[in-house]
Amino acid sequence: MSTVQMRGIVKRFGAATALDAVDFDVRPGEIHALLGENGAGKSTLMHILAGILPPDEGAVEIRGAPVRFRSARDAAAAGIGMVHQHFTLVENFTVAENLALALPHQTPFYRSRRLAPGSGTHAALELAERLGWKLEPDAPVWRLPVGVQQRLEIVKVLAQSPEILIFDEPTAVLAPVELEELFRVLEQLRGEGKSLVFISHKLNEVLRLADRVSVLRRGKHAGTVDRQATDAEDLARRMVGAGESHTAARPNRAAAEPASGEVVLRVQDLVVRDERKAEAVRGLSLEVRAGEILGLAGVDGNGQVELAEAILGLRPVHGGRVELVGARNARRETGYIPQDRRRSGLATGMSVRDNLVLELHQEPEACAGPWLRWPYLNAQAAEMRDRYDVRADRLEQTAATLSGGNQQKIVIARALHKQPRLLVALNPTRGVDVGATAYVHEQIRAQRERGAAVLLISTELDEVVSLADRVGVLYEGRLMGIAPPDTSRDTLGLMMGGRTAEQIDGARSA
Amino acid sequence: MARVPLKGVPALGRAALRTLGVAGAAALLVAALVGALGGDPLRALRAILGGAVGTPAGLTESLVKTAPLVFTGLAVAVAFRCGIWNIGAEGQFLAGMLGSSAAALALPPLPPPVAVGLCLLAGTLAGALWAAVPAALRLYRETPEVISTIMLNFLAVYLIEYLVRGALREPGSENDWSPMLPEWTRLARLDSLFGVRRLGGGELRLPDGTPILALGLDLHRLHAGVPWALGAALVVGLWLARSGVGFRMRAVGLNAEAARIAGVSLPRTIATAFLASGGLAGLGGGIEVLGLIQRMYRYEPGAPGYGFTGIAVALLGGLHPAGVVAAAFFFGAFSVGCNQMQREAGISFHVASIIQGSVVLLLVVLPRLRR
Repeated sequence: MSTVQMRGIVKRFGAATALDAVDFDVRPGEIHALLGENGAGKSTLMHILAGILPPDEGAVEIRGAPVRFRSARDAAAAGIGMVHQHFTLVENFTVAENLALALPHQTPFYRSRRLAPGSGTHAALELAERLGWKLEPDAPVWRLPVGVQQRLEIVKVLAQSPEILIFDEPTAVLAPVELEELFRVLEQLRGEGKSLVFISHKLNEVLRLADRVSVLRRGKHAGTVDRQATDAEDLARRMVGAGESHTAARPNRAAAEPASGEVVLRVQDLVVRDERKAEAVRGLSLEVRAGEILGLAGVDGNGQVELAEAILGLRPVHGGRVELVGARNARRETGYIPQDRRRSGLATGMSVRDNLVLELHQEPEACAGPWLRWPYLNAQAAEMRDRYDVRADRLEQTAATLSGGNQQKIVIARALHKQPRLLVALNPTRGVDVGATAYVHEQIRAQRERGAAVLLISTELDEVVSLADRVGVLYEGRLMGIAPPDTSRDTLGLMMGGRTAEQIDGARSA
Repeated sequence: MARVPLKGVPALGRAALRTLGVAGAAALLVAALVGALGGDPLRALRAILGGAVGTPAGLTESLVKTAPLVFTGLAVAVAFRCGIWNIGAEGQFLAGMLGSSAAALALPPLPPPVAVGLCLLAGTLAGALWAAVPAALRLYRETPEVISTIMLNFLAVYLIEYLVRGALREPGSENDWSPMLPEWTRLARLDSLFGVRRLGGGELRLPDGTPILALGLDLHRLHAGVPWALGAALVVGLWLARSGVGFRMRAVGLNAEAARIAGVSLPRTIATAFLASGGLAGLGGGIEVLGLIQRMYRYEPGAPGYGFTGIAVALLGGLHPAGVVAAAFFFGAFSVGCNQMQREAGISFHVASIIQGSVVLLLVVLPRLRR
């Protein structure tokens, strides 16, 4: 009998359906992997199981008994524990203090009482030792490496003796050595008869670890298979979908060959670090030519932001180099459409005009000594509004009053108004409606026709495949290969899961 | 890290209306407090109004109190507009007083305009230096400036105490204070500029004889710091609205990440805002000491308090320079009015302080509640 049985789970966020009649079950003593692209609904489904979100429809049963969780506390009482992707630790507290905070009937005061034999904290530390982990009770958490912080997080959850354990992308933050250690413990827990859910989008890990795999694709259940009965290609196909034809809308071009234009952007052996000083881009090389769109697909968190920002000069380069060939001022000749316009694109409290000239105002022609030449900037802003069809009654109204699509047009206008030789677009249509998406795609195509080099980095495989002349896949900061856009979905899916183009070819010819 | 609430910084008109609105609320609170303590609310209110703006002497005194608040209010507003929680205008103001006094005592006799200019420059730089410390801590060590700026307030207090007991102490004096600043370093009084001791005169009175609005000013009491303050507000207003740095500071305050992506240098912009903020407070301190106090005294922590009140001034003024001027006048006049209430309505110093504090609290909280 299954420990967990979820049937017909539906979850909507506003007009969007995040989960559409999803079934899911976990058996005792198994590791059940939950696989899918970003936004497929993996975390949402598990948040429902963990009592963090209520389902709109559907039923959840634990050991055969129907349950209706009103909070994470309810779920914990029913024996469900979740190890979150983002840790829930107090960084300024010690290991023992964090444990005391999480366990019932523990005083966070008095070190001696906290660590006394028989106390929950003491038991938790013993539990860690049984797993082969030595946790230093008095070490402040902020001093611990990420991998050890995760162990503490896991111990915190285990200390409440759950029967069902959910791990939300636990490997995202880990170094390879730490990874092996985590897998060893997951297998040990399975051996103890616990039910484990392992959320991931990495094929290799799933194949290595799981007993069964459930795949979600855009909120729909795309099958549950036994590990023995599947392989990477099958999972990749389920994950990204059978290649519906996107090539129809494409203009006829010799797809596989690089465009004949000059090389505009040359990236060689690039290494870039993220905020945590971990390498996010690990020796990546590529070239983009004038008049072509190079699309980079890949699941979120594989170095996309770091790559884009390093090319823009917004982030230090730790190795290798980025060259805008023949550029006198690289920043002025590069247009950038950042992802997440509310966070990175606009200061919505400023006026439409101010947002339009946010880049332009630092150009020499916009300045007269310390003062800005507002007549010039006003004229430029008006021109940008008209050319890029930003629907704003007045340039002085705040950007917050515009619709999302019109806000995105401001971002586009800023990137394209300077007629850049290189356009870098990072998830340019994330969170915009259908109409605005078409507009953004049209503008990106227009840049190619104009002869600009375009680097389109997007987690939307459909978007990449339909726009790009060549498609590369990013995985853990490396390029898995570059392929023509009519490459089969299976192959692209495998690459997104961490197989290089050569490995795939090799496996097929063997 | 918490963000300064900047959404919809109100236009000048809204700030003025709001000031009037909260003035009414403040009057009600004063009446209620005085009534609760057994006083005569109407008499107290009349005393405040009459004392603050009813007579030429009162109005002049209110303007004198307004000048330092304009500087500290501007200092806080500039920082907050850039998303920087500068709670250290008090320390920067004191540093400015110290810098200007030290320069005044060290300089050889010079023509007054040159000497005053140099002393004010020294005060401005001292204030900027006091703000450079938290700026560097934030930019290089990611230390929250809320903490570091508060701590530096105490440093300024005790540095001044150390100096007026030592290097700056007036020789042969029984008191811990510096010598009087030399004549040629003092800020001119307006009567010397205008050639008349008084401008206008008389007052509007209620039928019962209560003065409610002065029709003139006592130029002899008024130092050049008052026009300096208005000029500073004008320059800061233009600078924020029209200059490249001002534009970048506002952008960083509203969305630092978007500004960074658009190619704005965050460290440079944040450093500039810190230095400008500290420099403004320091200039205010310099003007206060050259124009009014004319020697360095010891201060208890929290005194003279212009830097702290500056936070309230900036918030009430909607972080807008014109609003800051209005709010500074309001706070300056209110403190003068409270002194009058103390004398006339027989309300003790402590009670007057409680009333003053409560009104400040109300004024700062009220506009925020309405959002």
